[in-house]
Amino acid sequence: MLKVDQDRCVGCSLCVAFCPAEALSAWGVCRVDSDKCTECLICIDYCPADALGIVDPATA
Amino acid sequence: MAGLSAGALLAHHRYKTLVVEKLPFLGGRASSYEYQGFTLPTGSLYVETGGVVERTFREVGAPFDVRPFPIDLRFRIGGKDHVLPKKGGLAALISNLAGEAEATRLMGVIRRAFAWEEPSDSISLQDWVGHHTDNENIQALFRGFVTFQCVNINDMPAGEFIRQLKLATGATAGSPPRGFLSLLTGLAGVIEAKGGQVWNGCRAKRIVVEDGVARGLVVDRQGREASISAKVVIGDGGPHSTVELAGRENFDASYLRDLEQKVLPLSYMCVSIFSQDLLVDFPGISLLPEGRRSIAMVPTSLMYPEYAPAGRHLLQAWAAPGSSFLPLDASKEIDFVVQDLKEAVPGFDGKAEVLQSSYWQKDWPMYRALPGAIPQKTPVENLYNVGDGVAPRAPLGLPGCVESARAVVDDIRQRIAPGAAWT
Repeated sequence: MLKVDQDRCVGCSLCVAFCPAEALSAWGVCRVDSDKCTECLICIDYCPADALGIVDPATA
Repeated sequence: MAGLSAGALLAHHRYKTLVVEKLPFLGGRASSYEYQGFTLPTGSLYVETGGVVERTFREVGAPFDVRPFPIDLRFRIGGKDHVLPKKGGLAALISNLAGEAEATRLMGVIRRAFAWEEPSDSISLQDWVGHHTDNENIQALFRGFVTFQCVNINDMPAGEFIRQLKLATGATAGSPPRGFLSLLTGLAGVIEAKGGQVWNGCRAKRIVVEDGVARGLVVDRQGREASISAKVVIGDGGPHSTVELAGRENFDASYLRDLEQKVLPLSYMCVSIFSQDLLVDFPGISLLPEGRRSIAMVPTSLMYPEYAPAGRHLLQAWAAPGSSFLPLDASKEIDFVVQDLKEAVPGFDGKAEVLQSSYWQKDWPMYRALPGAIPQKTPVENLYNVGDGVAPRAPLGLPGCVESARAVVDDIRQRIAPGAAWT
């Protein structure tokens, strides 16, 4: 599942703009709606802070 | 913009040039993107016209399609709107806000700071102003000015503020009607037209350093690692990133200490609001320095209708958070801006919606450092930095970025003959 590293996230909203599933929102920091996220990983490419990544749900 | 400017200048001077960009789009924090039909900034809000940026675009043959806007400043102080008159405006405005006698005294202070000796950089603008007047209107006026420079008054050294005011005197600015990305695309086009290449979505993994000399780059391109041999490597991801890529062991302790102490990112926020009705009709920059946060507000689509879809208006508010250097609750900082807007803009509630909030900080800041922090050259031979982390004394933002690129290219031209610089 997609996870936001809150320490790295800057809140720039670039991931929000490029998420095709509208699964991301940002208000100072970014948040993921796991129900909407398709794990297409486009947001990871657009994150300038390397704050997004995939983690095992069991350890999230 | 600094990296592409350096690339375009090098290509223009017949150096074989490769630009490697981690992100899928060009231009980093000087770019723009489309969102729900609106054109939004990745960082840069406007660009100086008639200065080093435009000169560089013209020199390399890149289109500089920028529509100027009038830098009319309107300050809302003490519940009233005060437009800064074009000539002799500051004295008149201070007189309006604090009375004639106080205005005469304060203009003496400002004149001395301009013409005799700049205040020290060891004092914040907030403290410098507070030292000279306890008039709250005047303090709000300076808070507004520094918000226009995209910095919090507590984070802005007094000396740097005066230098920036001097540099801004008579300056003009504007925005590209097709968005900032269009400018960067033009620079990339120059590089490619001159035989260079621009690789988007290509992550630099390591700068190769041998015996204190930069020799090239290892990149991850479409999941495959590639080694690039180069005569010169220029970092545009900030000097901290350059050090990490090249290995800290290649930098002497004094450089690393300067980096830690002087390259301190400054934060800023931008809240984009859309509405069907025009909410603010002042065609300039409205400064609201008396709210929870000091705000600069622009009815973007009034001056740039291309930035909004038909039938919609785009209003943008920029504000510095409470501090760039202390830990803050970023969500609350955005809340403060929106609450201030609700109180300041008639009809906001019910007619307007927040389209997007952007917080630029840490690795994606408003400015990586104030001008003059550290030089473009690093202790590693043939390894340079460009961008706002290494900007020379220049206007904040894009002019400083481009000046840094010009300085690096000038140095390269003196040292290395044109031709194949990478393979």
